Amino acid sequence: MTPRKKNVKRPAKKAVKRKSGKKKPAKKVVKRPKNVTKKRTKKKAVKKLGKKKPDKKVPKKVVRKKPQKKLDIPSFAKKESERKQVSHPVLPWTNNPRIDMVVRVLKELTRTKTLSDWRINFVHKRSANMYIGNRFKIEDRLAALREDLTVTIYKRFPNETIGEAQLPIIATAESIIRKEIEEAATICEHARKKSYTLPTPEQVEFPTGFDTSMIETFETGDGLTIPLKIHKEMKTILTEQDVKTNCYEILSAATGVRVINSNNVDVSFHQTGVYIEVTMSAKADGDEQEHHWYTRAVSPDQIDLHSVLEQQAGITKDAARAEQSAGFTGDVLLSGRSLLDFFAPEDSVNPLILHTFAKLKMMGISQLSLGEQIGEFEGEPFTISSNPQLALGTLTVPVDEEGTPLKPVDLIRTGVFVNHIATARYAQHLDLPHTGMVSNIHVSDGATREEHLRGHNYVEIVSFSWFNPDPFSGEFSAEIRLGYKWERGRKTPFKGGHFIGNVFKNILKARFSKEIMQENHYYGPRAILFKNATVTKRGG
Amino acid sequence: VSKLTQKADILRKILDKLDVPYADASYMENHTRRLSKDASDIDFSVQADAGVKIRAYDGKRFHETCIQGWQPAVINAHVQRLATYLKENPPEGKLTALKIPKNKLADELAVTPIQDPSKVSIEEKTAFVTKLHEHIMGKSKQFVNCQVTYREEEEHRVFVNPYKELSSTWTGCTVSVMPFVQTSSGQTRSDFFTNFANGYEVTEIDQDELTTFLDRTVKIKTAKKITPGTYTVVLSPTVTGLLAHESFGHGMEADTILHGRARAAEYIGKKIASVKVNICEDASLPSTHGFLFFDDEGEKPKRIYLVERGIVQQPISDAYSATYGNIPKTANGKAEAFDHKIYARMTNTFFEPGKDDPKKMIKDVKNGLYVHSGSSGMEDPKGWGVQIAGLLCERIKNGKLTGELFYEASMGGYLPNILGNIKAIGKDFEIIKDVGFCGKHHKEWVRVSSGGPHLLIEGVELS
Repeated sequence: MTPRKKNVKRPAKKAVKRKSGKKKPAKKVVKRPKNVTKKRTKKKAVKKLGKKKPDKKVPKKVVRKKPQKKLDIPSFAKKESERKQVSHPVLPWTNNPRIDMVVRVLKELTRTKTLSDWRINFVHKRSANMYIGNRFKIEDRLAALREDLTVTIYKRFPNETIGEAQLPIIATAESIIRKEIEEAATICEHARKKSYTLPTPEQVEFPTGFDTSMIETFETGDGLTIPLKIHKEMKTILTEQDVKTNCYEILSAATGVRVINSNNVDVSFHQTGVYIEVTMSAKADGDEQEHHWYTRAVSPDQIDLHSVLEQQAGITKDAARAEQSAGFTGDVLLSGRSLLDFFAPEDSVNPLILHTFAKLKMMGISQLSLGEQIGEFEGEPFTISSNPQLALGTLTVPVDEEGTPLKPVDLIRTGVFVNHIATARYAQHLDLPHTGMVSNIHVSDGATREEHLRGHNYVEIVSFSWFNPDPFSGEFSAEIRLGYKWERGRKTPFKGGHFIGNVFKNILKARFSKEIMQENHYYGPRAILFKNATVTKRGG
Repeated sequence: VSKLTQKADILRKILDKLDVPYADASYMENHTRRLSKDASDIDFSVQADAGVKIRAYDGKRFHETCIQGWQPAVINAHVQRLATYLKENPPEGKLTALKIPKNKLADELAVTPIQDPSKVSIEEKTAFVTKLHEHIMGKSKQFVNCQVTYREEEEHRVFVNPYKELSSTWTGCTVSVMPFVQTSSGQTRSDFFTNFANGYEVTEIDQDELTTFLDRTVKIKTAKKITPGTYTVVLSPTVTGLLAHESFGHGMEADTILHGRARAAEYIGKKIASVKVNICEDASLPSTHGFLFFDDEGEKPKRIYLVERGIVQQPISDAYSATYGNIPKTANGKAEAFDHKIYARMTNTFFEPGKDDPKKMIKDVKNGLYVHSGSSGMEDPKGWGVQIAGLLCERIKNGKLTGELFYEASMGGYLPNILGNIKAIGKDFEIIKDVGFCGKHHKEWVRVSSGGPHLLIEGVELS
């Protein structure tokens, strides 16, 4: 795979490092981990998940004053004593002498006016991975410990300008770190922009975004028992399937994240995640075809392995007997992985959501206008939100990397563009509500039951080679790995050919299922139907 | 003694604690500095990562412990824990010796850029991106914005195993330009220009090349969508490279073959294309983004023919897949970072030049398309399908480029058909001066490049 090289900095995904994801059987409403209550009060969920009292590890709500409204007051104007002081629990893994030393250095440099403001992003990550090959042989066991400490420094200049520079701290010696920060401070002068203030302490809600038992496992060992347990279960299930298992990978991780800034924001939280990737193959008429499937989840308990692997084995067999695409124009339905690829892709952002980013507005390249409909709807006007508090969503976080408490925010409401995704800087520069970074994607459910949406004569796309639309124009032409041509209740698998169109245009002709699903960082309809859409035939 | 050599000495002592048939240790350090300017903003950011990877092979499998940074005491503690585990959990059954070259080698290697980027001040770099941005915006009022990015990569590696002690330093600099235009209906469109070099000399951009690119970008504003169908196409070296990478690059990765996931395995030694077709993999090509002094398993690179005279040849491999696939080990064992697994990965993948004149290739097309650029691709080693996306095409009519552009097309089709329909291979050759990265499906990103000559292919599916 080669990525798109159009590398405009996209704040969305980089903001929140994805540690995990989740996958559900495509045809089922989201199944929560067996030991997680459906109720979303975080304390109860955590308690159930880890079968343990929410002890010191469970973040507590911190009630703080609302942020200052006068955004034009630069934070450097306030004395240290005038800044808000908030006592906040520091979670295990997110406190170490290195952070304290860096904070001390930053405070000193602020006092001496070398800097005006600063921020620290610290990530402590423990991972345990297993790589399984032919005949279920474990080829590699990998345990890793990673601690990323990144400092962002800000320097204010006359004429209401500010310069910022970000530097990861690799060194351990205080003298070297001090020197690196001082050097970075000189860079600020060359990266000046209109001044803005950093987030200040606010009330933080801690959604259910981690599995306590995984954190405990990593605390007491190298964590490799997590992938080993999953491997044993997968081996048992896959052995029963009449397809060949080529290989699979199980990646697990537990993370402690902490954000500190010079305005006394100091928030820490935990994340956990598993990633499972399987390749299976099957033969039909002597021709072998493979099917590649992957999923992310916050906890392994979220994944019903038996159901999902059985389903994927079925898809593998269909892939083997798939005919070449004959081309089609009409109703095209996305479900399962293809639906996820459309709204919440693995390594990019849906163009529709990307164009809600305030950065694109500032750059003058957004195609959307605030308060206006995104186009003339022939289909169902929908609502898309960024939901950081989605229980067990893989992008569920209490705060973004700036330390801004994240709350659900509608981006497009019933077809009207209502909110930009705006970090502190863009919110202040463009006078927009401060939303923080984008998180889980929540799409409103539709008006039609899936069975009615499906109708009688349509194409269903199960998986793409890579649904990778142009982020700016929204144009796409994605090769189909597996699809079904449905005629009067009978399905014929096909492959090849491209689904072509434009995200901004096709979405106006879409209808959504009433049934919802939750996978990875997507929560929304289980199926979407594009009217009058085009699939090309293999051979052009 | 350099710092890297000191690290090698310490790593060797740590490895001695492991009582296994084979063990190796790597220190991997990467820095990326990025300075970006557009009409609304100037941004400076740095990313850095460093850590140690210790691998122990017990005759059956690898056991790895990976630790961030350079903390010998912590590494020691982790290795001690691993040693205990290995002692308590010996492998069962027949053991297999790992296929690792046993020639002794100690070396300290470094690229020498013409202009060392660390010696250039931030003021000068800022002035460069600002001036280039202003220059481009001044070229046409059609540009609604333009992002100019200057990027430096710096990579340090130390590798130690029972036979080798290697260290290297590599730098790469890239300038990328992305102007934006908007259609009359408000659709935002863009294209991408890059220049790559090992040092700050990257800022010496060929002005004719840049002007041609900018003129073409203005025209994207009125470019059409292509009518899906089969076309006779002339691929530029950029797109030829993408084809080499996605078709026979991924399909010839030995770990993919070992897992029964690559159709190419059935074709080794068999004809897949005309005798004119040679597809290669070569990490030793200097001044390329895929360049390596040695891979993450201490192997020095040399040119590998994936397809030679139309016949499928040797896969690219890491030590594990070479051992269990019973094929030679090549310098293609690479990891995204110290805490990622080493897989068989590409470096520079390309078609070798032929004998045809690229201008004549265009002249020979009565009705077809010239494919200027592409942005991404996805492998399908088992199905041998091809997806190369983000193509910018220009109509060729009666042997002439017409200026009629088609935006965001995709190339598809069955690989043997595409390779079998190559009618001419240009005598030109170019490894793309870009900053390409390659993933194994959607993860494990490593730096690569690709390229080749112009190719004339008939019956290519575009949509």
